[in-house]
Amino acid sequence: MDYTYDHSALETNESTVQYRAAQVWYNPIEWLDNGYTVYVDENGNRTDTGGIPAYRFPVEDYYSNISANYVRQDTRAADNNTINAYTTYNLRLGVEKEHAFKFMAGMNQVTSKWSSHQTERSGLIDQTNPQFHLAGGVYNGDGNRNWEGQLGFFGRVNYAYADRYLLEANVRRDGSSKFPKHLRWRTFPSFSAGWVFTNEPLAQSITKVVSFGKFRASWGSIGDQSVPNTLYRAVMANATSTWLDGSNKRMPLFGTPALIDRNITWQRIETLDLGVDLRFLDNKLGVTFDWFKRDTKDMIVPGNELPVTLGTSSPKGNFGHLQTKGWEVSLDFNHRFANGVGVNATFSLSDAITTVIQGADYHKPWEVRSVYDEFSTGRRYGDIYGLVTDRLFQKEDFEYDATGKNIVRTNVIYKGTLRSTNKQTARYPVYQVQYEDGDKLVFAPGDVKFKDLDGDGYINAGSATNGDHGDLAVIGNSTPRYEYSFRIGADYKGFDISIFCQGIGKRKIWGSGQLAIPGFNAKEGAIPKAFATDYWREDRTDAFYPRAWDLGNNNTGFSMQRQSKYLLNMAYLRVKNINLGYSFQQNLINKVGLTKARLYLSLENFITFDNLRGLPVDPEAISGYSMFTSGHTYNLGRTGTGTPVFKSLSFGAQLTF
Amino acid sequence: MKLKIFSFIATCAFACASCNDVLERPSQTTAEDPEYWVNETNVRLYANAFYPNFFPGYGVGYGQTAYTPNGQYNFNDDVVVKGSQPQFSRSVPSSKGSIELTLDWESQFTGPSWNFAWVRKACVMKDRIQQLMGDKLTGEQFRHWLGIARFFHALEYARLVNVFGDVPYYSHEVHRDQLSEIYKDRSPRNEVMDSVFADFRYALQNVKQDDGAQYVNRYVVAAFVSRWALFEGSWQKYHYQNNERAKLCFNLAVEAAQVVINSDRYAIATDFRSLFGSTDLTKAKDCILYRKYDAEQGVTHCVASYCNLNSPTDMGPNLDLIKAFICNDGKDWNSTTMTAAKDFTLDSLIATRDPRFEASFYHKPTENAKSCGLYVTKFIPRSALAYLNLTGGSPAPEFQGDKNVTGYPVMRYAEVLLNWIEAKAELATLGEAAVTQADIDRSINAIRKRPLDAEAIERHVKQTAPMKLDDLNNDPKRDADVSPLLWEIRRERRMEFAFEFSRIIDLRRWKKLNYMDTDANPDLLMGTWVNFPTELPKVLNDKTVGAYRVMNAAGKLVTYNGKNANLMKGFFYPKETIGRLPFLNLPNVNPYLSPIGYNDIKNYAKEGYHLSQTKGWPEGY
Repeated sequence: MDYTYDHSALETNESTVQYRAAQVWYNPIEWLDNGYTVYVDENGNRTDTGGIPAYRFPVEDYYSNISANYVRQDTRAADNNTINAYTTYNLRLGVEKEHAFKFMAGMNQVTSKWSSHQTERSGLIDQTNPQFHLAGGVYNGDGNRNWEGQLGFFGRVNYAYADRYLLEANVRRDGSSKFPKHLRWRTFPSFSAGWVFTNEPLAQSITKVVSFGKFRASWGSIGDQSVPNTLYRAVMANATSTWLDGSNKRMPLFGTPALIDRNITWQRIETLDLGVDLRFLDNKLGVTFDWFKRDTKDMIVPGNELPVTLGTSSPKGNFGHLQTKGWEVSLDFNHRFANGVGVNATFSLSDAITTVIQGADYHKPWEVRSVYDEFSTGRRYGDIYGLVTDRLFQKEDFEYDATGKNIVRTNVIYKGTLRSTNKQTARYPVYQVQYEDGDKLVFAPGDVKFKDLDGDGYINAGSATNGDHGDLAVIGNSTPRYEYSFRIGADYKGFDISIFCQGIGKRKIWGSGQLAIPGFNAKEGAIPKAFATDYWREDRTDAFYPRAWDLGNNNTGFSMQRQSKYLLNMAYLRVKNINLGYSFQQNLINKVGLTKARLYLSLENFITFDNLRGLPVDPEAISGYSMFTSGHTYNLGRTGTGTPVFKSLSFGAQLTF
Repeated sequence: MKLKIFSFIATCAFACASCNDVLERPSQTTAEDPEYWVNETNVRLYANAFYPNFFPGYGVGYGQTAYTPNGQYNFNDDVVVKGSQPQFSRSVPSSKGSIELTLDWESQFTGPSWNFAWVRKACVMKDRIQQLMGDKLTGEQFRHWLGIARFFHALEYARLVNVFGDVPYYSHEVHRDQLSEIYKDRSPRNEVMDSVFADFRYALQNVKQDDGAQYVNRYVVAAFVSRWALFEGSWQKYHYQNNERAKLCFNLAVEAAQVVINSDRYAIATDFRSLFGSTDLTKAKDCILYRKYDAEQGVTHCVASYCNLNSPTDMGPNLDLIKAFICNDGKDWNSTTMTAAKDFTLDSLIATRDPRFEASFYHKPTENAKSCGLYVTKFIPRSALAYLNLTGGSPAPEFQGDKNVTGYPVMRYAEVLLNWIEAKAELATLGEAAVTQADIDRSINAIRKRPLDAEAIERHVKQTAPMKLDDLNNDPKRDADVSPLLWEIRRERRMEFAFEFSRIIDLRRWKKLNYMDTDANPDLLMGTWVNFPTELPKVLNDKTVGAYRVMNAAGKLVTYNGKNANLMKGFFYPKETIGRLPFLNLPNVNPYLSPIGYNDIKNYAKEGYHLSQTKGWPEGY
């Protein structure tokens, strides 16, 4: 039995001061010294003879991103109490003590609480020493606290027969403070069984080849309660308004009460696993294979989608069910040859697919569910719906007028309104007016031509539902598939070498930001060379990317709809580690008192094979994720703008005394 | 062994005893419905959330800019944009609307999107006060806060009706099992506005006359009622020719405006420019409701920065607006007898036109106003532009970026007066009492007598002569179906509210969107008269060949080709400025009301309910 108490206290001090620097927001202004123009030579150095009038950015006092300087202190204290107690009892029965029982029962209790406090004051009088008593502005503060507790009881029975048949059964009963009283407790059982068939007397003949073999199967459930404790209460959020009252203070306010479901309870995770472990050739070669199915049931997701006339979002309830099916296989091999060379290798490959069995829209018929909803019922998670790219429009696709410079316009009736578009030479043209505006944004040579999958002569997404998705199709999946890794090593007479590689077989995403979307925003200034050297121009009609357009800070628009050709293919193989080493012989180092001495050279992440056509994006990147932030999107969700993976080379010595 | 078992059982027993305490850990720091509604302070705190949404003023920072003057109100016949003019939307969107409590808007209609979150918020307040607080509030408090709740509820519906026409009406909070309520079809406009007017009347009678500084009081309510009742009255008269209903609305507008006028608390006392560029006008007699800003509180905006003459801008006043300004003898520029008024150079315009002209624009043409040559400085105080007199100066930090702290008169007395006189004039055309000279003196002439500030007087600006009913200006360009008095009242409104909320709503309620047809009126695409050789000599040089173009006095377009600088005298008209695509009388396009998304209609149909599309847009898409 053990009892743990831990207390954490965190104090953060922060302040921002005013800068006195050149303000680069506006144009440079004439550089004047005491009212006289300053002259500089061609290198920018002040000169008294000749030269040109100098300009510089105006030097001013300003703040970086905020309106006033401030000093702030945050403190947070958290207490956790954990009690674990369990007891075990072993029992051996049978003539040869071949029936081995083990019983275990126990409980655990976790309680935690935290409180936090923050004070901020503006108007610093000493920029170099930010303190609360050296400031003259208003005080602002905040504080919060919360607490929770979990209590659980569990019991387990193990049975093994002669090390051949293994059985285990568990049961847990857990309670959490996060749910309403009548739904706090739930029971979670689990079972598993294994059969070491190589220990069977009948299997002795195959042990020369299969030196160890075990089949195993298990099914278990566990509860998840990592949700806020206010899901079943109609909370009115506290905030401050940006409206100032009569004494120039922000008005405090309480928000609209949320719509809630009063019956919220544990989310349940059930895992079914079937596996086999085999070892061959006297344990030299091992193979492990697992197939698993994991269900997350009673997931807390929003309820039926209701129209916006409700005025708020549907309350969350235990409506969701997510299922992942997957398998893993791993091999390992090691062998030492007669001449002293040793080789070892491991290889593993795994894959999983997740399907949403029941999402927020489960009550709607299948045809009406939106294809853009990631958690739509029946949707395979990560599926990307988009248009299928056919090719780029070329000059031959359009009809020109007598001068040969302007394309003839034609009118089509689309969804009841008259639209003006360019006239195509094809016998049965397909119009893409959904993405045009009749003015400047009209498809012309160099823009993308999509495939008309539903054959209605227009490219659109229909109503973007399962039953009517127009020309949309599943063009890829953003879940990483077929993860593999392998390690090969060899050693001989003290020298050793190993290479570790890891990769993903299949992953596609529609990127975000200037590194992934050509034309994302002209104001960004720079674009990757891969875009700049490979877009359609009249003298380069076989380019990969279409005619250059400014999308005005959007990830999709005009030619750049979500489509198959411009999905980023994030499959990769990365040589993560190459390790070379030399270990000195024992007799040499023992004299110096060392038991082991090894020199090594290690290269990390040096080679990456990817399919990104030269884009400066790391294939392991996830848009908007960074280890530096939690709770909000990093860098506006742009792809590839996080810290890149480090390539490093290190060498050194390992000495063991 | 026995000790182990014993201690184990003891621990379990101990834990079980405190079982209930351990798991009884509800949130300690959240306010929850319905326990929240216990006293007046709590009701006030709930109502505070409405203020930034309904009274945005200059917005906040760069992010909350909907409903802010200047940059956001460029979709009308006052503004020319360099490049293509913003277009009327001519197709039905796939979906429209959200549930977020944000300052989201439809820019073409300057009103809320298909969003009922604010309606729900107001309904919750109404329901809780009526059901739970009868015994917790005194009679006066009860009536006041119920009035406030009904006021905000009605205000949101008036704005929704402005954008969509018919909207589903909810007077109580809707629960998620009330599917027939949630999925109900749009209520007809007249039915919704009847309920809105009932709410407005209740608020007019029951909201306290004074609830503290910066809080909504009866006069704020009355001013907004006069605005929306006038709007609805014009709409009924000009779109549906329903004169009975129009009279009802105009009478309510007059009644509400009288509440403000008869209170004798307000007057036109501040000069025009200071109304927009001051930091605190809460005590001024002009302001019925004023939004303040403060850098220390972190509440700042960016609207003044766009008027600081340092940032080039793509939009600005067009020639149609410039020509609309009345000359200070009370006549329009065609009928005036002052010869100097026919000269369109900026100095002459400043000296001959209404003082609001000089207050709204910079006194020299500048190439920073890339579409028209005339830079809008209405929303920045005169002191902030003093830096232009120093060489190498730049605007003060508080007039750069989003650090501005000037305040905005969310509702000013001038609007109430103009609403009042326009409602009276419309009633006169419908057979009610005629407008008297006393009425004009109280409203339009009071505004014309607004004091001038020192800098305006230095530039020879004069107050406009008072309007006389027996000597009304007869504009040769007046529409035949608008009486001369109404024409002049509309002109006063246009001058007073240039680049503010009013123009596009006015065009829609008068059924005059044809004023925005750039093919019919070429003045809409031109800017001010610029004499490049004398006023902007440095701008024409080798690098700017082909960049500037004017339409000269003879009506010919002259583009700068490097050599004809002395011919560049005319109305500023860049070659990139292109007119608007046709939007009137197109089948299945209604530029007056917004369509709703066709996916929303389909979703209703799949559930077995019917949602109609806005009239004038194709049903079934």
